Amino acid sequence: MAIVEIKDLTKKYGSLVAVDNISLTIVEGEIFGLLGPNGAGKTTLINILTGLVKVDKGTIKAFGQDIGKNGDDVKRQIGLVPQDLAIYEDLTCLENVSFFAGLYGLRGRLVKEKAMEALDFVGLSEKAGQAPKKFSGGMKRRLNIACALAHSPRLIIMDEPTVGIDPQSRKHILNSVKTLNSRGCTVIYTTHYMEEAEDLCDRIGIMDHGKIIAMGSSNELKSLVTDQSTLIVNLSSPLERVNIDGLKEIKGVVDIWSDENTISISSSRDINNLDKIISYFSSNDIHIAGLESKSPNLETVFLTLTGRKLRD
Amino acid sequence: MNILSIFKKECIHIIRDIKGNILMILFPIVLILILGTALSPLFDSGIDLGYIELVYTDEADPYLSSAYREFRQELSKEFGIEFIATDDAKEAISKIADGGQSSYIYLTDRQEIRLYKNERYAFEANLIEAMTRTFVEKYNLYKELATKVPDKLESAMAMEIPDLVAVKSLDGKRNIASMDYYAITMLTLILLYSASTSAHSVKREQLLKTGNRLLVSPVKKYEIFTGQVLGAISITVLQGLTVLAFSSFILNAYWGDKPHLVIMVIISEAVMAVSIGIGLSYVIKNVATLSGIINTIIPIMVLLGGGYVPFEVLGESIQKISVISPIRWTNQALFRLVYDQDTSYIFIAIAINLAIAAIFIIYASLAYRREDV
Repeated sequence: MAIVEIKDLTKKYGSLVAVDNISLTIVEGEIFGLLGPNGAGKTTLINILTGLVKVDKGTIKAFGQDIGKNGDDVKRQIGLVPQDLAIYEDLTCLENVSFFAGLYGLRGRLVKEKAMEALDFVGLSEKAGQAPKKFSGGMKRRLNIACALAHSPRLIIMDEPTVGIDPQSRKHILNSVKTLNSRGCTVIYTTHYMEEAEDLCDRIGIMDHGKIIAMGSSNELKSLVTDQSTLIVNLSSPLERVNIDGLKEIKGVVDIWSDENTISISSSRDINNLDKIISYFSSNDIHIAGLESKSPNLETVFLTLTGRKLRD
Repeated sequence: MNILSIFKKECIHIIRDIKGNILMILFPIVLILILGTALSPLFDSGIDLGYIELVYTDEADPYLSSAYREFRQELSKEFGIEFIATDDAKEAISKIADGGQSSYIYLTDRQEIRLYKNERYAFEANLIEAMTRTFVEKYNLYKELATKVPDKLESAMAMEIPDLVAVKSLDGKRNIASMDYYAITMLTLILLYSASTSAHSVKREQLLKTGNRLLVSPVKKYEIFTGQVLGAISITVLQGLTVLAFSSFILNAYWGDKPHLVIMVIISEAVMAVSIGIGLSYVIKNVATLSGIINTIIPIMVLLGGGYVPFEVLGESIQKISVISPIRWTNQALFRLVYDQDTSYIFIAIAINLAIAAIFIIYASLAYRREDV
């Protein structure tokens, strides 16, 4: 069952097209990842979904209802974990979660019960009476998540929830997302970490310049580039000495990207050109420090589709 | 219900803001104490005569001599005049002529009281002449009574006779002590600073990004807005009442006998200040600029309202400009109420405060409704 249906969605800020004619369906019970570099339009799309930003064109339905017409009904079933921490540092953890839960219609004893449940879920029940002022970044992120959970939403939208935190908190958050999903929650998860998207998401939409340029499961996306293999060459000589056009003339080479002292060469799988590539470097007196053959991953997919790295 | 949740949260923020509470409660109390003590001479309606020396010779009979001794004691006690006795009348008179002394009183053995004075010391000399005349008239009255109706003398002397020199305020109403003055003006000053508190309430939601979290919840914008405004107003009124109670019960500042009207004015000023703060926070996006503007406007409004020094000291031109300051109307209303029992200005001040509040609140609510992320 479709929980979110987006059709021909466009949002412009002046001449900048932040979301460009996107159509997308998210199915109940899945973890849907939105993967893309900073500025790709992920947060704008999330803001439109949560009603924070008005659309210029297109329609969005959530839970079968038009977001614009049935705003409050839809909002009650969504929990947003914003990219920026959205917690009050002078309120205790319990007060923070209880306050936001109260806004979703929870009353009386139920508010405290649900707030404590949410804090327990993110591992902060022991800190319930403390204000987050002196918490670590990871603990604040966990509280940020708890504030979106207490009202038991059907759809949880997490906008880059692991930015700038320690590995332990990241692991905790990723496990929490899996647990929430196993309990029946649909999750929309935006990130620019391809490992997270690969690890968590049932389906991934790759965004760039406001458009979804590819969509599918991790394997489906990788299959887009399985007819190619990538050779990563680390050089000890200056990169300026490499004639990229010369390299492109080698049979089987599809594309080349360079970054600092590294050159990534994508070639057709059915043509073995490794010896020719190595001999090209040696004949031009360019010293190779290391070689690595890489099977396709989401980074490769993004690179192939856009010519840029995810973190560019 | 959502309004109540947001109202409660807003109150908690303000109550837990230690710096804000120091500014809103401790700061005005300290200011009332310091200004009320340091600037008390500015409000002192008594007259300091300075050092006055009066030379006299007493050769009168025991009755007059005794009466004059009592008179001397009274003047010494009341005004600090020092009486110096001399037997050499000639030398005393020549000192008056030379200007070495302002006055000389000679009680002769013929029961005459002669006053010699030098006009160079006009104030001193005239004051002593006036006092001496009063004494003479009083003594003659008692002497006549003793001679003609001796049985009435005792009851006449028991009658309360007015002071020799009575210093009375010309308007005949209660005088304003410096502590009383600054209790009113510092309270109205500090209430204005709630503009800063409320402006920062709005900015806090924007800076902490909690504003977006509020907006994605099923809460109407007017509920968020109303909860914030009511929370800020309630705590500001509470802070104002704390200062009022402290100044009244601990510092003994006078607040008149109509506390309900005083409280009405305080509430109206709190509503105005909070509304100005919230309104400005939607006009000015930058927090530093917003703080700068609020912290510039407030002292100007307070100065024009006579908050720092009495209104009358400011000069005619500034007094004319001062009509633009709502604090002038608020202060004036409170002073009229407390010291003249005049309630007519109260409703003008409340109307001005609420009108200004309405302008800013309407602007802020429209701006908030239009606001996109």
